[in-house]
Amino acid sequence: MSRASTGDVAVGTELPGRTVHGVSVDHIAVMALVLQDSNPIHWDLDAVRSARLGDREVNQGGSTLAYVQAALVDWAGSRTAVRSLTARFSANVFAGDDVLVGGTVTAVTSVDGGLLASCDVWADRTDGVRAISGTAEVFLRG
Amino acid sequence: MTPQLDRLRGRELPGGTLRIEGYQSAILDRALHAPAPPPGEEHLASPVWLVVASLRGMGITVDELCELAEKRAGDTLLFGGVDIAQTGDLPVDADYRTTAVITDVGSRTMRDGSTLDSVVVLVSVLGPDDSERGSVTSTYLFKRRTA
Repeated sequence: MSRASTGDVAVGTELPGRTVHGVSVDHIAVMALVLQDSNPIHWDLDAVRSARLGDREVNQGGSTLAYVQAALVDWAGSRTAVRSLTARFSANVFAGDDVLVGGTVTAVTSVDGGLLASCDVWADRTDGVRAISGTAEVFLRG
Repeated sequence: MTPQLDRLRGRELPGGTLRIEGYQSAILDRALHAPAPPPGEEHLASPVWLVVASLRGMGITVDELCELAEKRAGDTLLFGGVDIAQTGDLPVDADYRTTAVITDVGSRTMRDGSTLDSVVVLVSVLGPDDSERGSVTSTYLFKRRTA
């Protein structure tokens, strides 16, 4: 992904897209351990079916959100750049899905040391279903 | 009968502590397809650790949160939304302290007649020097089983 140059960032600038190919069952399990998340829809297919959520393990919303965070961090070039991120979860991502992350700059504010870029952000399954929509404020060092 | 969750509004949760080990940070980065840390930030964890802290830092387990929300067999827990603010670095191999409070609860009837209850939890993350590094407001949804 190309890093943002403050001189090139303006309202309407598209953030570089990022695709996660094939969400892994093992990675969902790792995340369940790290989060200490006992919700069985992440690892028990009987629970997934019982909840009428289909027949594949459900990716944690926090993991799908992390794909968005990673794209913003990569764009800004810093792990401390994402000053705020608000997200709503509108659909599940399942094991095996591909996820496309993107965003658009909606406002740019000069701040001490650089720019603060306000962005609309999203994460879509590649079947066109939007899993996450939200907004972010990202500091871009000048 | 639909649970009455108003009693939970304003309830402080125990909070807790969290240590971000370097190896855990590396494993999580791989599981989440995160890019390598930018140059000069190899000692910093990804901001996803704020999300981790929002779950592990409540001081109660997800199961205990479900008990508070009177989740019953057949109810489904969903993650509705999140507001994250990062106000400082998250160095690895460091200890963090968290505080947590239930800030709001709600309930609405869906188009199919089912009930969707919500519990909103604010977790604040304090660094090794006790300065705030970030906060996360999470909305947990409880889709109640229809009769």
